[in-house]
Amino acid sequence: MVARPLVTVALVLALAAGGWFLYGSLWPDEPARVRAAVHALATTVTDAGQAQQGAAQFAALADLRNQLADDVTVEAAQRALLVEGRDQVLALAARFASAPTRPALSFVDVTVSLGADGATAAVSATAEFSETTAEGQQAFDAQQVELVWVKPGGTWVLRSARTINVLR
Amino acid sequence: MLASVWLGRHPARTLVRVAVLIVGSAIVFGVVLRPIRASGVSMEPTYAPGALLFCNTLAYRTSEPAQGDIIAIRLAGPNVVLVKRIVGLPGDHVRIVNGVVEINGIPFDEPHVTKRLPWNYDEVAVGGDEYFVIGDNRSMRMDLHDFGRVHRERILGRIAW
Repeated sequence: MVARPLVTVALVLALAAGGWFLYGSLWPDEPARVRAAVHALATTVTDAGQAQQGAAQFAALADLRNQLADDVTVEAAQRALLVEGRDQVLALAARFASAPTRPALSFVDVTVSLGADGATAAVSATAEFSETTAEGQQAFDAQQVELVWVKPGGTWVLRSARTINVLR
Repeated sequence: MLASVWLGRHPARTLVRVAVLIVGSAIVFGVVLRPIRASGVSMEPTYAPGALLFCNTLAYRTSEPAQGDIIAIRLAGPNVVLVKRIVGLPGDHVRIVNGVVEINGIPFDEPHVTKRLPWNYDEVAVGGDEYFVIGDNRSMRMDLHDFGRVHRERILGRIAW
């Protein structure tokens, strides 16, 4: 009998949390859409890396084309890397994906700052790269990145990606 | 019947205990002692890849980071961190000569480093709010090993164990 109010409170809290989650899933706000685009990009790159070659990798890279702006740039200062333009970035992605180590990409700690115009978003995240070495071991690398996303035609696409040197 | 098996003779007390345990664990392991899974070889042999570490985020509330401390360094957030050892303090001059770290021109004693390649790194001055950090694994190529100066505000805490 004593436990009934507690159970009721727990049930109400669980329902509220479920309702909030459902609302966020069905009607995501703009930062949530950007976050989804960031994770979708990582999934596409990982799919290309896991497919290695053939039709599956071709399909993943074709999908990636739709996730990049025409004038996209990728910059990694510590590796003296600057790639400009969608075709060049796709070529870089194809090289990355074709590595025999089956590379994968994911983004963690994603923070979205929406521009005042609502069509630009600055994203801070940690990019985690993993691959399987020839010895069958998992190798990891992590880099802080700053991404800029734009929404030219109603869909969020990547405009620029830049790594941040945490140690200098 | 089932409820009495799960919740005991005093269901309210059991629920409160469970709630306290959940909240307490969330505070201890979510805020104070953050668990970290080591991935990578830069801290070998001190920490092997896959080792479970705990970062004390309150360690530097009352004291400053010290030489020899193993620290967690935040990247974009606290969920993926770098784990390194502090060798240089603010104001120090650090360089590496044939694999030996020198602080202000004096070789730094590093008993935890078991193998070292002949790394060479030009002297740098550590800024007033910076620390010079490096991993314990010096048997790997220098260009594959992340080390250097890190800003104080990036230090998440000290690795407790």
